[in-house]
Amino acid sequence: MKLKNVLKSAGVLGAVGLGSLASQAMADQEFLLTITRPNQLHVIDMSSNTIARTCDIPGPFGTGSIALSPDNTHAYVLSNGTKDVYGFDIRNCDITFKAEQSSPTEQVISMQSIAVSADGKELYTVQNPIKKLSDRFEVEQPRLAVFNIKDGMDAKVVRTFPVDRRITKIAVTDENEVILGGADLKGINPKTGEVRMVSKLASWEKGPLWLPPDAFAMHSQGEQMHEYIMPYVTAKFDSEDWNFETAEWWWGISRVDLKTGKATRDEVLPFQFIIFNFVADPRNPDILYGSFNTLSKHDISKKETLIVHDMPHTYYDLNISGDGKTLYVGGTSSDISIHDSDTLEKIGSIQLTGDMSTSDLRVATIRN
Amino acid sequence: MKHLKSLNKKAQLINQAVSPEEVEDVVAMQTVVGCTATTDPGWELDPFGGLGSLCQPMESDLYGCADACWWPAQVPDTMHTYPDWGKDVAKANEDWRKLDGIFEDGE
Repeated sequence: MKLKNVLKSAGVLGAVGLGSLASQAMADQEFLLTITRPNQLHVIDMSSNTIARTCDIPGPFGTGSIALSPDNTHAYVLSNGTKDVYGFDIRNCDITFKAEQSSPTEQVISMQSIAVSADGKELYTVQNPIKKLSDRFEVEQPRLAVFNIKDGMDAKVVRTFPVDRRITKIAVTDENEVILGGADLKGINPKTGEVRMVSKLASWEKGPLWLPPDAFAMHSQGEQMHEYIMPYVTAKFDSEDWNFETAEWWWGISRVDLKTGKATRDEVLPFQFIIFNFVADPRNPDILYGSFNTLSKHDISKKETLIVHDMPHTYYDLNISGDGKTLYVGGTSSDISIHDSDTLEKIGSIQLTGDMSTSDLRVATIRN
Repeated sequence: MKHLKSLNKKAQLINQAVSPEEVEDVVAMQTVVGCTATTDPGWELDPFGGLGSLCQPMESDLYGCADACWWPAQVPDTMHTYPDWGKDVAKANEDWRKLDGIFEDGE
């Protein structure tokens, strides 16, 4: 909250003492970050739901994937069709980091995958390289690429380790293991390249009555809970004849606690409508909210959908305020829809200068 | 093919590829993760066989399908092939009429 707004609040309340005024002035500041076309990073003050500043990202749009530094003062974004990475100080839009991943002989794409180490010193991407030969392209082994953030505007890869194909969203645990969202959920040690299975999906062993899971990791906005959620859909058949009409269809989630690196995987809700992304309520990890053509609220401890609210258009993703009271629903078009998390009723809107497309909605909490 | 002899490395590779024992099995991408998962809504039918769970309206989903190379047959692939397709249209819901089709002959 800006000091001006604090003083304004103090005037309205009348009897605010110096002590509480000081505590408000020292309060954490929450900013909602997203990227719009043609290629701007917006920093939205969540206390007023207004755009605090807009940072121009060099190059063409790059799917809008955003990773935050541990202190949340810097945002790292994919640009130029996800080939390049830029880092911004979100307090003033200064560009502090740049890495061009491709070269004239090798094209490198990072499908959403960008994360910052737990100590804020390294940046990780999953690179999908293609060697550009004179008469053909050769698809090469995907790799985890490590950059030193202090290398600034001419950062080069300092280490690489081979990883699986089809990795999209990644995240870092407090122990600095990089969680890789792919066909299975795996973790890699970015110092040694050692890989471990975190949560099986494609290779799960639930038996012949379960449909192999169809998972989705385009977004994972779990910063308020410090977690990584990968939704999936599956079905339980009543026989090995696999009758799709009589099967039980389920939403499931693979869920990683980024504090401990421990994961759970469970079928949490009947599959009744499409949800692109889930976010948990910081006050109760059993309460999930989902977005797509509807905004929905669920209690996964009871495997129940509590509220479904129709939306005027599709929204790919959502995030939530630190107090759990306000939902921000975005992606796709150029407006962020704001909702009361108790009722899911719309309480506001933020109009942006361009479409968010597949961009993240990240919450950066700057602690004083 | 048995009467033809490959003259260069590329042709030899093609010969190897058409040999049945060299062709790898096609594995269904059941767990796709991230791109065109089978329960994603498409452009024709949703996973329930209807239209209600398609992205709505179409223009809100155009860039989401183009920028991440999500549905490259239905919309131009702005990540690789047609990076300038949406260059002058920041908001598809307002200016979707300016997003033209792609014609290979350039017309």
